[in-house]
Amino acid sequence: MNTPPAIAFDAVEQVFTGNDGAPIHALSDLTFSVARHEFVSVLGPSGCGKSTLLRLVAGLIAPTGGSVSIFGYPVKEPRDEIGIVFQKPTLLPWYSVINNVTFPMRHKYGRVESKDRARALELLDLVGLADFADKRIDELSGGMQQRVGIARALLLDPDILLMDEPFSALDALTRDEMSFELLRIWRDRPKTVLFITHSIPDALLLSDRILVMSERPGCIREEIKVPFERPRTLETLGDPEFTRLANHIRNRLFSKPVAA
Amino acid sequence: MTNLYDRTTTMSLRQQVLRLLDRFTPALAFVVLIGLWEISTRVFSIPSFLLPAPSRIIADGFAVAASTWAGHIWATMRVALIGYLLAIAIGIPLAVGLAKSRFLARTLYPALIIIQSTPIVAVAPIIVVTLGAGDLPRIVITFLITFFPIVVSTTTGLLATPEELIELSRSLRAGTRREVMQVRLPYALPYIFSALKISTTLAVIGAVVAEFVAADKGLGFFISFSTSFFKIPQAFAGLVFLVILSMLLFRTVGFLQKRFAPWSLPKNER
Ligand SMILES: Nc1ncnc2c1ncn2[C@@H]1O[C@H](COP(=O)(O)OP(=O)(O)O)[C@@H](O)[C@H]1O
Ligand SMILES: [Mg+2]
Repeated sequence: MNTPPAIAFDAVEQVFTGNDGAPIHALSDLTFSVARHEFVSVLGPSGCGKSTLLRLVAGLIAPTGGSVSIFGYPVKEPRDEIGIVFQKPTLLPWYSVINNVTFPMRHKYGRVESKDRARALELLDLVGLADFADKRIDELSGGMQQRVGIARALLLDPDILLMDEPFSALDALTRDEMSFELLRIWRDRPKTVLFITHSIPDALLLSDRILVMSERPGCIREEIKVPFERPRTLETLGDPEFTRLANHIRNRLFSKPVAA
Repeated sequence: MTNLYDRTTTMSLRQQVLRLLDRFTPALAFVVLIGLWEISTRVFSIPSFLLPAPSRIIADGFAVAASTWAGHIWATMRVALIGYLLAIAIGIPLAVGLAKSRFLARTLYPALIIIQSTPIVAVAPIIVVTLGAGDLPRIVITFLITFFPIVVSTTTGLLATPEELIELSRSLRAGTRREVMQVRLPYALPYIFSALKISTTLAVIGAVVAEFVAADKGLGFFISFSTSFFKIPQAFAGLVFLVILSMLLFRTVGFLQKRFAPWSLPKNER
């Protein structure tokens, strides 16, 4: 009675053709899996293929080698089980906040029913924006816009939430606040989360497990199980083990691979 | 205390005057310019066939019957509007095709560049000969002049949609139609509106050029007819109506944008 993992990569290769026609080897022999309702962060240098990895899970591109599967099924096209939060909020300025949250319904099915609106309001409440439903997008701060993006990604109640450096465009204070917000949201609505980030503290604070990637072509250099008890708080940040792990990861990120 | 009170009221009075001045500066500048024009034509006794005085233009303008004016204005406006609307109706769907299909882009773009590189003014006589009398050749000429900026701007706007939004659309498997209608086109609206504004002026130019070539009605016809009889002040009066017509069309598009798509305007213009 083995339930298949939520996300599984098996020897995935990804080769792009660059503008000059030369092949770009983005991902190489990438193998990992994420269990249902697990929170996994991916850390790695810029250009190592993190966004590519996420697009593969989303079914937006197909791997050039190996296989990607979701709940045991190979990914062939985008699926409803997945919600995506992008680096920039990428909201639609011609819609109000609530209409941005219900956008997946309008876009996928061509109409929004009152129960969808009710659900959107509930989600806005969850991300702390209950009073902003009828505001215009440009009336919101960057952090608030990203919360709307999270609410939108949750509208179709996906099992898997993909987040591509969602807080990297925010200032440091807002970023910390958003991290704790995300922890709270994840506790209220357990999801499988694949969280791509540049921030070692964010990864340590949020995740059950961290995948550290190598430079391009990206593969998993190390897998780190994060030992801290939940719920995690500001105290977690002060734990000596937190500092030790952060240093360890930093060293892993910056050291060159032993053999090329 | 009373002193302070006095000071604040005078301050606000001064501010009020300044604000009024600021508000009416454009109108004031306009009036001054017309005044200078009037004075210099009198002082230097410039003959009216070189540069008629504003008063003379107004007088000669009124000498023409209102119904005659209405007929000419309507003829030009009709051609300009039909050509313009046709350019929108064909230009925007074509832009969608160009943005979505590499095949269309590769086959049609060269043809479009050739049309754009052709001076329409030079082709106008040929079009008139080919398409005969009536509104049709004039509408075609107007269409050809207005059409290109609309296609180019719309295509640019459609392709400027952020990649993430397109991925969001694809991740929902919404289909190309909804991707275009609900994401790309709204995103292109600022581009589309700026082209629509430029094209209003071009539409009037197109209609007038066509009337220069062949017409028995319209403001362009009226101007060329008046000048051929050396009725220069009357030609100027026709020009005034053309400017008003152009501005009216431009303003109407601006109003529609503000009314129906305020978010597509820069923040200080909403
Ligand atoms: N569609 C594509 N075509 C060509 N090259 C691509 C494409 N997508 C990504 N790449 C290349 O693959 C590498 C990894 O990109 P990406 O996954 O965006 O990295 P990261 O998100 O880790 O910064 C980069 O060198 C990038 O230029
Ligand atoms: Mg990236």
